[in-house]
Amino acid sequence: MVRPRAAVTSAIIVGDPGDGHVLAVVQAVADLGGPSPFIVDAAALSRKPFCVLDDHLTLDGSSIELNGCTNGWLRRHAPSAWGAGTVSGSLDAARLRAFMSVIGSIARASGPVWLTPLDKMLRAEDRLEQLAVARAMGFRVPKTIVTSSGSQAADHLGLPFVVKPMVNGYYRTDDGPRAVFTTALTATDLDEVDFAAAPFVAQEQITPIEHLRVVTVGDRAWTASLSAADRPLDWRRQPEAHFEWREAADDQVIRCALRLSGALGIGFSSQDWLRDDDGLIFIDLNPGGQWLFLPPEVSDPATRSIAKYLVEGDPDG
Amino acid sequence: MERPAGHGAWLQADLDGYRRRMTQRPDLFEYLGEPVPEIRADGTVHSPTDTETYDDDDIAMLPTSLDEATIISKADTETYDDDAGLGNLADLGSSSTLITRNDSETYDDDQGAWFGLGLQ
Repeated sequence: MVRPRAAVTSAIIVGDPGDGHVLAVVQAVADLGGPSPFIVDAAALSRKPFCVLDDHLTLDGSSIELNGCTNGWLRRHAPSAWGAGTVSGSLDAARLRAFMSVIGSIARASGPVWLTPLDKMLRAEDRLEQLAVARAMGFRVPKTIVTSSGSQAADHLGLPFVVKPMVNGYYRTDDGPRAVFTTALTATDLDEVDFAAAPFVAQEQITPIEHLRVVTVGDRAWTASLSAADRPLDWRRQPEAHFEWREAADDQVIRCALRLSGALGIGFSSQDWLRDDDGLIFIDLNPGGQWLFLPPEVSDPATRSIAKYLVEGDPDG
Repeated sequence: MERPAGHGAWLQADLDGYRRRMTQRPDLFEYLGEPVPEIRADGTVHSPTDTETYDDDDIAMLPTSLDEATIISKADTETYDDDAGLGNLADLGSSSTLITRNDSETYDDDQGAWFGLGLQ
């Protein structure tokens, strides 16, 4: 068997080259004078010729020696909607899973030092685990229950209470795709739904003063805030809310967010906190979340820190 | 209603009733799910709420590669390539649209919105 041609040594990004966040980091790497990172995800493997041979990865004619990689950033295995609509257990599902498995192996390669290692990322994606860790650290978290009984949730949380998907609220129907946002349920809603058919995270409803989005990279963090006045429960449902985040110099939430990301062992996180009349409360975090919609005072340094990690191995340098 | 005999039969009756309840009412996904733009396998985006016309089919054609990523600005009607500002998302404001293949985020000037599929 012919070994792949001489590999380049550079950083590696597991992510979609069309993802704006990947693009921004790649540009920042170039600005720092670093070599172009090798970019791969499951979708790329599915549409381009590739080969994994020992510690060599070749994709569409480009090659990289994984053990020779310096640093790695695991952004996402695949685009968010990749494989959406695939029927579980189908031939297509088997194919997708095979590509995902290859990406998983690449993301576990021991050569690169990953900003967030794969297994740490998977743990950190677990909503209940996040809450458990935050609670154990003494942070306020919403009262939370996962149950097949809506009345049990109401008894525990009071009415109305909030529900959000365990993992992903995106699905396809014959009439097109749909998304589930964080929503408050009333007694009337409980009469209408089958609570047992799919588990959701149910939480007490908080009345926030402001939303806080904290982006952490290594030991650094930046915060943006959004006034909760006149917002829906899930701010993403309000178009103007996407443009009204402002930089916030909030040392308290930054300290809390860094402690939490440190406890979870993740080099990057996008965290959601609320402030109400009683202070800070942790809502959830995403170890592969978005940050470019935030003001440039927040998003730009976060982008540069990831790039510095890829080039220099130190996001704080 | 006549009671079925024996513990096992009672248990089965309970389970049957439980399953009937599950099938008669929508679950939370069905009950709460809202239409969002669809990204199809052929690389087109179909939005159920967006009335903006990107092309004559009312469908936004997505670029086939990063280099073909396109920003469409409603304000000046020019089409830029990625060199012109993919890295400047914050500068797009509410009057522009960024479309990239396989990117589930749509920056949509009608909605002013970003349909954060997977966004947390």
